[in-house]
Amino acid sequence: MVTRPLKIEKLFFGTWSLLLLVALYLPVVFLVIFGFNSGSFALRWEGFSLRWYASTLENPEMISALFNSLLVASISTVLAVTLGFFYALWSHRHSQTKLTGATDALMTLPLFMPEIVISIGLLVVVAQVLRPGAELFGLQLDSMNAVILGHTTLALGYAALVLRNRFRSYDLQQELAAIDLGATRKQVFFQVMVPQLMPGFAAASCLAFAVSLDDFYVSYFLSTGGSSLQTLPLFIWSLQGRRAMTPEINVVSSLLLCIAMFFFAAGLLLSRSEPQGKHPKRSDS
Amino acid sequence: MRWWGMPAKIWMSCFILLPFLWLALLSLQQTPAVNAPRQVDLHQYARALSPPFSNIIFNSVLTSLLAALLVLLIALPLTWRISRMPQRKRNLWLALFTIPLGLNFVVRVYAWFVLFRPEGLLTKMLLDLGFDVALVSSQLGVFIGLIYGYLPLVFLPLYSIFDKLNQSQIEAAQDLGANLLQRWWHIILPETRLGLMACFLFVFVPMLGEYLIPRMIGGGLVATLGTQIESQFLGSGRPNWPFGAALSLCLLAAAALVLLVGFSLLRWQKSERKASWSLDL
Repeated sequence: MVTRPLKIEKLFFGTWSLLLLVALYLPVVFLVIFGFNSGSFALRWEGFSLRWYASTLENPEMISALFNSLLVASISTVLAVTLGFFYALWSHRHSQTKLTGATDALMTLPLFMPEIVISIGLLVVVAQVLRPGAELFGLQLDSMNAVILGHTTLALGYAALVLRNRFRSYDLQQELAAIDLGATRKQVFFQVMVPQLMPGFAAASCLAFAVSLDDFYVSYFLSTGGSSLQTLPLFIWSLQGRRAMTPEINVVSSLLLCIAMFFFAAGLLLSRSEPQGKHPKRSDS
Repeated sequence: MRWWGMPAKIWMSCFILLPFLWLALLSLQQTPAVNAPRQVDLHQYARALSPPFSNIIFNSVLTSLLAALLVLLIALPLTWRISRMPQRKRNLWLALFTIPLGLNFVVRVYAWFVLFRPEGLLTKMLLDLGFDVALVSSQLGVFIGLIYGYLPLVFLPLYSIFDKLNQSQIEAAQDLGANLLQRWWHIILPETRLGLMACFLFVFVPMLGEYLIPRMIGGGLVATLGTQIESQFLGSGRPNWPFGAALSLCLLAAAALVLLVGFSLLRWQKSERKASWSLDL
């Protein structure tokens, strides 16, 4: 239903949205443009060149940060989506019981707790429980493992939520029909369940990957123990803290934006798109 | 099938619930030394709730309350308009305002930090207009940074609230001659108040613990709850984990208090209809 807006309302909406769009996008656009600066200061424009792109892409610090970011994101995505998938399956089958409400709350807790509390909680547990515990078994829990652990926890919250919502529109009838028609359990799984759940699976993976790439807090607090670990956001943070800022920081930022944006957009599109029109209002039965 | 949910639940219990309990235990420790005799008392809390830390906590709560309110007020008219648009236009506008959410947080804050600097564009523009304000290392800059940082977070949830709103009621009111203000006050706000409160808390809680914005824009000169907690754990001075744990429990307590007060205020203003809110991703 669309109500015809008044002229003044239209004008107000126009200026308001324009202002907001400028505020949201312009600083980032500037940031990206300044990556092509030929001068050696991040804040003064001296002409166009690809000089900083060339030097940044060869910077070993930046390459290792990029590598770490991608590695951590990949491992924690696989872990989080696997855990989240089985959780969502379980919670879908047992949605009548009262307990699922409580466990759903537990699973989505990372979305609502302040990130700093999650991070220092993990820091304390890693330093005082897990690291001494691992040493008892002769194992080493380095900062890479700790960061993967933290990112998996964050990503699991998102993955569980997306998968759980996706399963609400799951059509059980198809499964029952397949069984009636004599499908084996294996066939039901691969030919009925998996195709239906695939979009949710892809959406959850993309979002989990984006969450991990985007994360600053957990990496910041957990990367310090033992050998310190550098991820892309942490690398940008450390560049920003240096006295002389070169356009390098803009180049690294632009790269991170490109990679993260891709996964974020894919995740959002996949989780919002509906397979066949809009599914009816969810019924929790 | 029955145990499939177990691994995820165990994972979350180990890495969300256990850390929380561990922090609570740690905050009862009297001294930061690891192998000191473990004496249980509320010494750390007494320190956290007396000046100068009580002032910092109070300031942080106040700043976050105000910033979260402004975030809602800024986003509200826009999402309302978007939710009244034809479907195809809606998706485009929503996408425009959601994309910034996918831009990395550190990068976004840094992008504004550059404008805030004395030689930055924004500061120069303000100077030309006759305002000589310091945006870096100032409370004002941190405040603006908070609003900007959390603004992209509310567009989708707000939109989903307005999207679910029963349209016929508003039209009926309009037909009966209710003006814009009356429509909002008597129909839209009562219908959506639970969702709006949830949205408010959704930005308020992380704002309260924000570390990155006050540290980067505030340049270490603006003390907030977040920067205090960080310096107790990773600071260059003497770290004091039990005290940091106590501070972070104070943070959670403040958030819980605001949540309780918020929702009881709503219940007090009673209405029969329940608005629903869910986080749409």
